[in-house]
Amino acid sequence: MTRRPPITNKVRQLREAHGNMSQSALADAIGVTRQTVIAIEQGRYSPSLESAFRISRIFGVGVEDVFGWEG
Amino acid sequence: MSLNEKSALAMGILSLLVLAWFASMIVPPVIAGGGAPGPAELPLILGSVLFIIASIVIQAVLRGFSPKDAVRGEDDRDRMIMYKAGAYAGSFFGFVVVWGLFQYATTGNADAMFATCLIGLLAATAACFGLQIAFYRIAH
Repeated sequence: MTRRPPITNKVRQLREAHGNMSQSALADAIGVTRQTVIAIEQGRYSPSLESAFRISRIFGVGVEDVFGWEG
Repeated sequence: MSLNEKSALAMGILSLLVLAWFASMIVPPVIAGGGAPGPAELPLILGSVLFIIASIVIQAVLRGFSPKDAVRGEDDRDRMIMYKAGAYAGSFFGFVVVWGLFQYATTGNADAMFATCLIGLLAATAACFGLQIAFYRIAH
């Protein structure tokens, strides 16, 4: 079993709060594949710092409003 | 399935086919007790050229069907997965080369060393693509 990274995120909630933005639209906006957005939402993958900042900019919030540390 | 996943799947299948082809030339004589055959230039060159041509065709076709993904290229998750799979496959190939050198040092059979390294290289290539798919599906 692969250990999940101890990083939580609210990407899905923020996406839904922003007019039900699709995973595909978010992926295009931050320059990753839709599969990467899915992996981030499911907590299987922790994005790079650059992608984390891009995501937070898209939603107009701070990085810590999107990502949390549960370690 | 992303473009890189499809690419890894197609290249993995191609690598396995090439591996099976080379193995079919090397393994039967070894099983028959005749030892590993010496390098045969023509099949090696032909196999390598066909592999390269098939790779180019596969990549062109896959990118033709996913132009948006092709323009975007790899994202940081793709790069991390490729790096990780490459590291494992490279380590495997390193062990195989050391094993081949050990064989040569103990038996003096250069043909066996060559066959071991060639099979190891092809197996490592196939494993690299297989691991990429596994990482995409199971973890990351």
